[in-house]
Amino acid sequence: MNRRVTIGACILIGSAVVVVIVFWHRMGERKAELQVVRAAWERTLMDARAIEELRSQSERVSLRARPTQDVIARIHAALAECGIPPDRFAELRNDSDTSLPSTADGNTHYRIQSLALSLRGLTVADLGGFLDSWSRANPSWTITRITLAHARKSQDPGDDKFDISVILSALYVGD
Amino acid sequence: MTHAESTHQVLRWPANRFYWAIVEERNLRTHVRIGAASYLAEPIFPVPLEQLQVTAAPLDDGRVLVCGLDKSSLESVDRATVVALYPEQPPPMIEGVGNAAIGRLNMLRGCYLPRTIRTARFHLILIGAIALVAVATLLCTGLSNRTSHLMDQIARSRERIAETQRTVLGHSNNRHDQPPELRFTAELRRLQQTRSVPPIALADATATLQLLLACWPENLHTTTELMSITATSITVRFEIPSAELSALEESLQNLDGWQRQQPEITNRGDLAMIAIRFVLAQVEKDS
Repeated sequence: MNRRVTIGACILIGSAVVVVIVFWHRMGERKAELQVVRAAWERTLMDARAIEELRSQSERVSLRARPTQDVIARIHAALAECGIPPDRFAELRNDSDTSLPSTADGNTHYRIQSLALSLRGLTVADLGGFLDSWSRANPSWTITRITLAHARKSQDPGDDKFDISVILSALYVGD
Repeated sequence: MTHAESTHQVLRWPANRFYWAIVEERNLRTHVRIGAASYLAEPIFPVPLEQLQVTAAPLDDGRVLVCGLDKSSLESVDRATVVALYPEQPPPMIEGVGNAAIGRLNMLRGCYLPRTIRTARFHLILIGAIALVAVATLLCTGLSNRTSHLMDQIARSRERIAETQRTVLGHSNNRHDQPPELRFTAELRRLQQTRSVPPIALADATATLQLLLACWPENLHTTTELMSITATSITVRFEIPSAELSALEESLQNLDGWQRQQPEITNRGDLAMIAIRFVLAQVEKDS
């Protein structure tokens, strides 16, 4: 009887210990999972704040090359804002599309889209107004080259007209 | 004398009913192992060990007192009432055996354990087992509750994450949309790519134009034919009365940070056609 009782007691103790260990292990797994989820929650909060902050900023780089029609509409808006007749707009054509080296993380490939804008018969003051209006409304576009060619002389040198070519460049995220 | 004391008898039998032996075993001194002692005493006992109930006690001088009793004698003992059976006194032929050693020579042990003690031990084990089960149950309940609490916290944290993502992304009716966590990550990446400071800054030519126009001499009679401006270079071709050349020279000194290259001057009577190029000094130095 003694032996049976001893064996029974050992089995009981062993079973109890195993059950407690199983429950303890399950709790440990949940603890680890909670830590992971909490870390994800903190990361989500940080990311949410970053998104809100980034949304408050204007777009500096587009996700793809801008369509020419969109840029023409923006040009007309800038011309209208500084009182230049729309017929001064001559043409907008693609100038170049070049690739930049990959970023440090290697995940983003940037490209530079350049468009050549031709305007006819503008004074230097008109040009200044247009450039100011354009730059304020379109911060993602940079004017990288300005060429003025004399078109018509006036009595007042300030009223001399120029044919103007402007290179508009913008970064976009390549594939 | 209480009822319990009357029912729990301790027997003391004369020393001559027992078999005695002294063994010298230093290893047994501190903790007598009865089995080992009995084997050491086996050659001394006149009857086979299998017929004896043997017990042992250490002596002060390092020896071990081994005591044996015929098992047949023990069969007559009523183990329902008797709880212990000791020799009455030490054997006269063995010297130096004190009462302490005699008090350790209880013959009712092993398979002759009294029923009351056996029952008491069983109850003790039973109570211990019940206590163990109770403690284990309490522990498991506590651990289970804690696990449930942790799972609740996990679920709440996940819900908070999803709620934050939904808030940031806005409500979407498109059933074919990707999961919110993927859309959230994609939105962050899109904004980082499009609204962070870009890896390079495209050089702006408007500042150069402003600088040039600020320096351009207003009181001179120039007629600009061509002006080409980038952030790092200026090329100007213009006409000017020859008499104003020196004044022009003075005005264009104000282009700080720019390197003026040798101008090309073509005289046309009173007028001079000048083609002049400026390069940003830093660029010129690098090249």
